[in-house]
Amino acid sequence: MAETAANRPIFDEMRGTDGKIRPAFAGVDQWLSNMPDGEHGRMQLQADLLYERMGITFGAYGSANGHERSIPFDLIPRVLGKTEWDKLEAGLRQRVRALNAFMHDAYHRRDICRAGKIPEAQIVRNDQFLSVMQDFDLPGSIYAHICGVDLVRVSEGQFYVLEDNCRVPSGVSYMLENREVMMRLVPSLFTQNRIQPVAQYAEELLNTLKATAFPAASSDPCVVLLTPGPYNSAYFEHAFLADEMGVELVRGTDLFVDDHKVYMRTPRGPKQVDVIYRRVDDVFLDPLAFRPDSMLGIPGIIGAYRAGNISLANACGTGIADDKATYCYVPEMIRFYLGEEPILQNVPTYRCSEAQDLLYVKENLKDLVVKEVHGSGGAGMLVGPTSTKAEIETFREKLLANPANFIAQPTLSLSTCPTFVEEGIAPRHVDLRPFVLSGDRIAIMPGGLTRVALRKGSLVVNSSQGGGTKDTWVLADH
Amino acid sequence: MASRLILDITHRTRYRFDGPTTAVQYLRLSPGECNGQKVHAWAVEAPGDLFPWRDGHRNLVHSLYLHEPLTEIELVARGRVETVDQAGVLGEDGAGALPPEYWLREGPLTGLGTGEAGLQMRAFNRDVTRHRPAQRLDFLHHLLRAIVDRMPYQPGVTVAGTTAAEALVKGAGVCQDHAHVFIAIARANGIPARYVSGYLLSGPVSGPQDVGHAWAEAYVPGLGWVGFDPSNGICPTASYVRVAIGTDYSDGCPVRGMRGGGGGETLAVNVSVSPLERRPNNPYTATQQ
Repeated sequence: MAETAANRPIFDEMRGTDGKIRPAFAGVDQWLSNMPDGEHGRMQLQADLLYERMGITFGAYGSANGHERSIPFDLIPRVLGKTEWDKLEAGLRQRVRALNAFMHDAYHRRDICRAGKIPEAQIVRNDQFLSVMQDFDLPGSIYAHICGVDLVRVSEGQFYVLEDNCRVPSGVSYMLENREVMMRLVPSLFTQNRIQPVAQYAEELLNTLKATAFPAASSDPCVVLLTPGPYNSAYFEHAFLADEMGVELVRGTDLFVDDHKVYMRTPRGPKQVDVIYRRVDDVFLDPLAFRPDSMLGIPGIIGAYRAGNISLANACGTGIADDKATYCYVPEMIRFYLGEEPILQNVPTYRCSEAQDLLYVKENLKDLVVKEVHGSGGAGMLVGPTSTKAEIETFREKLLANPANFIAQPTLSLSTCPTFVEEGIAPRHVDLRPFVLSGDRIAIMPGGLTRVALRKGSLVVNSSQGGGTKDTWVLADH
Repeated sequence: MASRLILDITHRTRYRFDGPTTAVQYLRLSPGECNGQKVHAWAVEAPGDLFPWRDGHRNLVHSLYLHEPLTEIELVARGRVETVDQAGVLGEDGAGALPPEYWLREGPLTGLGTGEAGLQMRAFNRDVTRHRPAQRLDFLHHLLRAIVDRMPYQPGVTVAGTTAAEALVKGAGVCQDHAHVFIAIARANGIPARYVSGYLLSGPVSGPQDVGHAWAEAYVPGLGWVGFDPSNGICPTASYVRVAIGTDYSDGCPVRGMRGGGGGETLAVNVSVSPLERRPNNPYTATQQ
């Protein structure tokens, strides 16, 4: 059973539960205690200016003033010691290996269903299950080449996986830019602390993408990054990553399919493309296979894909593995495919599709977090403990109208990290999204994106809901 | 009824455009082998190279890329297929195929619908399930008859993108609409169902027909997949040739494409199915298309 907000004190990343500075944070503590009055305000201003100059934005759909804004960046880093990171990293590797094995199985024999571990209907009736992937063999049997795993911490030794993002996870550009800004603002911190670098991400990403090319591709595969365009909330990241990797940033209209192969229009004529890092959702990829009204994709690309002439990263149909209803089965997947015990724990999850679970959820809404199975970005969810009676009642109706559409979890006491706020330094809740790259090997950048809920007491860290970010350090020692 | 037939089939599809256009198309024009169906010869002709692949439903698909603008695209699929009457029973799909549960998923054209159309679909569903026979097979036959009664065959009332519910509201439709309503109601009752496109030998004298045919298949435990042709109120016989399956017309149709430019378009489809051998005592089944 999870430790819930009600029965456990909140763990602070810097001070632990006993109030003593944890070893990993010693350098940060020293920096903060030596900081003259007013200095943090001045530095925060500088950081904000840097962000503005670098053009780091996030398109928040529905925001009042224009469609882009800077993501608030907080100066105080979140620090992980080597030992705790090593365990996390081992857990992430294990989890992503199992997720990829599951996706291959889900689109082939579905042995895990035959073994009675997951109901077959859960897979094949899922909207995210794409029949075009059935019996289709991918290089290395890898589906989620880029996986963002959301973690939260509740105590010194306990991290929980909140969610696996296997479709088109974003946020890695903030991880890189946060580091860049910190190194510019406080270079001394990097000479005084042995912080593992993350700047090699773009190179690792390019290696991973090249490794996913089909055997028919050239020995130096041509990689492009496909974006829906500037109106997408993560467009900044698409442009940033293409630039960092030195590959073309393209839109659907820049590509076409001929001879069962994919070509990019260039001033020097068509150039064959081998791998597409696509940041476009499945159903928009090919109007001849999915949504006929999609203007973002490339007509005919699914035929070329199934013919083994173009690789897509991530593969199509990966939504079957990161669905909130499938999430509960990940520990089973680890046992089934790897024969190992999960290193990272899932948050205990109630499936409202099941009568027993629904009964419990109905009675305990005020203590639970209830999420839509297909929801994302913190939309369509209920955080029981911070909701009014009226909000809970409205949500109850939604839940009972379609229980199978919801899962529920206990409210976790997410750890906090000291954060600069208007009144000074105060604890704010954080989560962590490390990025796992799977190609011919698995590469994980030490760290990830730490998101912080800037409102006091808030547990919602999503960028689309006004969360901020922090630099995340993994030390080479401790 | 002939229990075995050898059928010569020619299926011509001609698109004419007001101006030159480029196009990319997926063609599902090649029948496969299945229980009661053997392909002796088959070829597809197009104004460009064809690139074969298999979709997740195991249909043989050809991709056609026309990047040089044309004002006309003519596709000809022709060949010879031997069929045996199986009383509509196709059986199981075999290992590795999508399991029956997959075919409970709604396609874009086979939901129960929303608004007024949705209400009528639900009312129709209540009507056909009111005296629902206990056996699944009996219920499916009951549904077959109910659709024929409710929406007689009538071309020109619906279009390719008409949903099951919209067609039901119109009270008429073509084979595609009948199949969609059958599939939608079957799935609403927990019975896996899918769309089949194909050909039908429709008369005692061979001759051209207007268009290809479409019907439905539903899953019956013990029997496997069983075909139902709501337009004719019968299960497929040796007169039927299966070409492709899909969740509905949207991914089971013979041609799905996209073009760039060209203005208006006219489409002419011409199918001829003629029996190479026919036993003299063959009473043909009256059909409309």
